[in-house]
Amino acid sequence: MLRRIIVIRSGAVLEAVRVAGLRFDDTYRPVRISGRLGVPNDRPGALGFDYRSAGPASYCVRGECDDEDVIARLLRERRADVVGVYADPEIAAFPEPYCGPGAVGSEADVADRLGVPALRAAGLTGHEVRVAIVDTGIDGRQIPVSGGWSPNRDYRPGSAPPAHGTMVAYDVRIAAPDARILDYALLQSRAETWTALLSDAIAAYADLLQVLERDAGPLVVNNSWGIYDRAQDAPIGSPENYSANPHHPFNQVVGSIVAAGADVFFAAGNCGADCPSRQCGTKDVGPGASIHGANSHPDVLTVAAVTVTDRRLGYSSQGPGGLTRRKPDLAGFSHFRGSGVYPVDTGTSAASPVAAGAAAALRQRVSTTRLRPAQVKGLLQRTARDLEGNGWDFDLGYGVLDAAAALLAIGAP
Amino acid sequence: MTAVTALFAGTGVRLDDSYGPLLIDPGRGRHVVRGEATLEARRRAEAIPGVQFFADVRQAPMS
Repeated sequence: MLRRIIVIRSGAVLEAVRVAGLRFDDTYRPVRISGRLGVPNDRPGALGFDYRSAGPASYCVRGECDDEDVIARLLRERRADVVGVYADPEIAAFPEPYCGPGAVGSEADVADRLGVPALRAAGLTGHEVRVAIVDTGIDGRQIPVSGGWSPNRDYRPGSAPPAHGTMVAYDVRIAAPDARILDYALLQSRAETWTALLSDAIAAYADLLQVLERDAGPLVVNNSWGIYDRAQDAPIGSPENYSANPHHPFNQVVGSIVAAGADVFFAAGNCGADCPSRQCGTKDVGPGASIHGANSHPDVLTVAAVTVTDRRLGYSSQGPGGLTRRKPDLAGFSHFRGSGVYPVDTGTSAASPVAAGAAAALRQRVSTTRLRPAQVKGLLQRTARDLEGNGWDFDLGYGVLDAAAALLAIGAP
Repeated sequence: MTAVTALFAGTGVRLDDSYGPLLIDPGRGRHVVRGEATLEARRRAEAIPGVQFFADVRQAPMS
């Protein structure tokens, strides 16, 4: 059933306008449409509505029919009386951001909403695609790993206790179960928390550059970490600064690895205005103050977070970013029952690997010689589902990553 | 590392011998080392053409 808004000229008799198959809604009182005063020759072509033809006294009514043929017949046979026929889509209030503690859905819901069935139908599982998890290390008993790196020379890849890095690797495998997982155990446990210095992150990326030099095959890099408090950084404007300085060596090496062919994903951060993490600095919460440094690098995909019910997670950091204003780039699913490492796979920490896994699955089909990282980034942006209907925005970028739509866009192998 | 150590000799900068130099931009040949310096040592090191200091900021997981 098609519901339409029909604009008819003043003086037309409603019954005379009717064609077979068209049912007017008798409960809807006709609404007078006035011409725009003072701009008689201004036709807003982009909107597609001709206010001049609507005249000073046209009327809007509501009707329904079963197919487009009825509308075509109405426009053809009642041309003298009908100004136009327009869509009447359902509208709803934008839902409030989600800030609850409980999980929303499961990893099965994530797979379904992400478009994993379409990937599977095309045989895409991330086979032979390397995914570097730059994180706290991975528990190899749960996630098979194929090598890695750590600033701790005694560390053996896959030997970490189950923690944040294991959750991240698990979430990559929702879309890319056959990806070759590389364990870059950057973040070290200190005083019941996990941290790393940027100098160690630079060392991790220098190693990844060598990995790409040895084998130029597909490499996706996930980074579910960042800074919460810019008070720890040199001030913005200082030549030493990291958060807003493209010349900082970590920001430089991130650019180098993308130029070498890696698809790099960063979590946007957990300092969104509605329910920021307690770790966020007092001046580092909300729009324009919560996506810093490489997390806002122009060459990476910066991932915000939504639930599987398409509600923005209130902790998801909001642009503009420190290095690039137009951040985040898109959103991934988070706050679901998944890895079992924690009761809830949460934060933009989970959203980023969900998105990175989808990219890894797609990379199985498209080599870096066919699509450079910037082109894959554009593909994922272009095919994302725009939730708020307003195009790109500082909350969710281009919208929620849609692997099925991206797959459709790249077409057959 | 020997060449870097020689470059900083006499500045007072204490280099981390276990770190680098790491190539971060193959196109421009930029390398990174890690170390500690007093303000005076830093001033002397920054007088060497091409030497720049940057913040080494602590990072944490986004969960």
